Amino acid sequence: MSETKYIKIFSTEIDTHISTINAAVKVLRDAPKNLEPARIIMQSLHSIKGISATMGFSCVVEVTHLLEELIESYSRKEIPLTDRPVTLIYDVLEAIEEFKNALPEELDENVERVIKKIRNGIRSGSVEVRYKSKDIDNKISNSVKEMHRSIDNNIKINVSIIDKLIDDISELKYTESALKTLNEKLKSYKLKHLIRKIEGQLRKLYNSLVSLKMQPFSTITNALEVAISKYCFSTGKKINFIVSTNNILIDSSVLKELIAPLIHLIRNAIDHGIEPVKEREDVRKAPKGNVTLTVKKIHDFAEITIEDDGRGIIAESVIKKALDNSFITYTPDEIDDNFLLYVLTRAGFTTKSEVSTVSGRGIGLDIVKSSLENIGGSITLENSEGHGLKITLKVPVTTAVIRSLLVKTGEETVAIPVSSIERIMLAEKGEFRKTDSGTYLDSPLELEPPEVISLHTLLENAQDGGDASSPTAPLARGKSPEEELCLLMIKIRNKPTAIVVDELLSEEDLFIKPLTQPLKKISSVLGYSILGDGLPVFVLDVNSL
Amino acid sequence: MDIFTFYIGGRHYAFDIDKVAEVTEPRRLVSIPKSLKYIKGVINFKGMLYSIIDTYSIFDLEQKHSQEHDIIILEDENYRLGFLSERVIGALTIPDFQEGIVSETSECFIKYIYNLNNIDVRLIDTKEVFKTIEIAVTCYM
Repeated sequence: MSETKYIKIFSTEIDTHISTINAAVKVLRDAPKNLEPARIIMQSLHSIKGISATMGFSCVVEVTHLLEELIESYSRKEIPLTDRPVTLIYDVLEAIEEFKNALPEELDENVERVIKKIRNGIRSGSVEVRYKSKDIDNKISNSVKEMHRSIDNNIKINVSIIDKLIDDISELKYTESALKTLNEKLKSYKLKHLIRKIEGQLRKLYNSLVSLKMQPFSTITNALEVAISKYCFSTGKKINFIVSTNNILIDSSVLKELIAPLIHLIRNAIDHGIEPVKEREDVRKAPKGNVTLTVKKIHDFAEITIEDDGRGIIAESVIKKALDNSFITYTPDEIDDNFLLYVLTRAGFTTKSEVSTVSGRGIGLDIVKSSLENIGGSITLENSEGHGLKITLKVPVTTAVIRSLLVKTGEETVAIPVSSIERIMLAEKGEFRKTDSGTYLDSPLELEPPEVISLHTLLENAQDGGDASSPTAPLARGKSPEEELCLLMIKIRNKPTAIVVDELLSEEDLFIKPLTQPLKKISSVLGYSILGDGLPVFVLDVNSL
Repeated sequence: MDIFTFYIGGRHYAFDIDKVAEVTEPRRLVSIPKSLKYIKGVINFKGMLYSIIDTYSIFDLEQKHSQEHDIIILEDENYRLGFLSERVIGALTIPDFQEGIVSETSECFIKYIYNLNNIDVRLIDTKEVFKTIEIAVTCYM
């Protein structure tokens, strides 16, 4: 067996033990007094040490040995493994993993350098090893690795290749639509049959490709837990991090975009939300704060909530700070969660007067909001002063296809994701009630009367920064007062709204493409798609209009 | 140097020929949900979305009579844009910076003015156009 083969076995073994240790640390954090996880960690470290010794990787042997001794000393004195040793365990695992990834090109004197770094790190209590492979010209070793890779059954594919294939399918889909349009004139039964066959096969192919891109949400939760453990250590706060991902699968490109916003929000929860132990005890809260991450799937969207039981946001001081620093120039009579979110997502706004080591560097929710918008997502907030904060992110599960309703507004056709429409109904103008603040629908089905706004006005006014709910705006052009109006019942920023559209056209699975420059920054648009007739159509994010 | 010239609103304009990808026949523009300064609409060109610049508004020109417009397609690694044109003239080779032919100008979005057979041809500064449009879009959002 070649050396490379041994290294492969070593890597697999190491991976198994690392994941065992990760799992044990998780149990340990929930029950620090439980001795069993520490025993499992010791066992795995011992195995890592053994196999590393066989391979002659003395640096790994040494580092695991030092860690073993450290954990043993904790166990001997019956001191529970708290944040500090846990952070250290993560650091060592990270270092071992980096060492492993740098193999096999790096079996040289550089190894000694790693040993030194890890050893010094362990002694000073923090391990910071950044180990990059430099010796790339070791061509022989590389080609052996390549050969092994090529006979493996699993291959790694860059997501961009799958995206390109999905794009190609969407092109075929337009051709199929064009054929359909053509056959409306030709009326050939045979052609119709063939088109239907193509349609079915394209759908199958598309579904298979999309499924290749899907990854469980839990892929990123481990990284989040490591991050949290580090923040807890540096802030000295105690946190219970509860994760429930419900085995939800998400497009890997969406998942990638979610990491930074999630880390940011969780960091905020720990740093600004969860109070120090003493303060929590003073208000009769459990000393350990709770941060919960929940993922749910609702139609084509994933709803991710980050909830903490900290002090919440003190709205008054946020508004004062925003006014003082001219981030806003007015305040409404009633400061609700929507307004609070509006203020907090103003570019550059931060609530923290001093920069802490963890957050408060002026990079605030505005960045979170814009990165979510890049993937067609949105953010809402529920604040309860003194009791906690709940932030909900809504992102499409996959960026490619969204079932949408095509509607006509004025001369133009726009698409609205079916998942954001609660109901479609017809109403006569007699059912509307005009007040000073706008027109409302008197509907026995609704708890709160929905505001009636025409889509045309909504889109037109959004660009002037004008008041979309102007009571004087006509609801439907070219229609007599007796005619029934078509209403889409949706929620705009959590408020029930009835949007008047001129005409409902059809429901279609649209391949959504992201907007490119210079249109990238247009808000309330998820992306665009090309219809069967070749015309582009914008897909609206009606909930944030 | 080679330039690509066209005519609109009583004036002759030109692009650096390297920037021009193609010219398309008149086609229907689709409005953007939120209308933006200088952008008249979008088109689907080979399956991609192109923002169409209102050449009249960006150069402050008057559209004397309604007519269909050819679209000059411009591309770089970041942008996909089209410019409305009343009449496409085509490629021209002009001498580099020859006295009496080329003059500097303070006109917006214009790099140089070339005097060719007593006709002023304005060379468009595409970089400046891209930048201004980006700023205009950002300000509206």
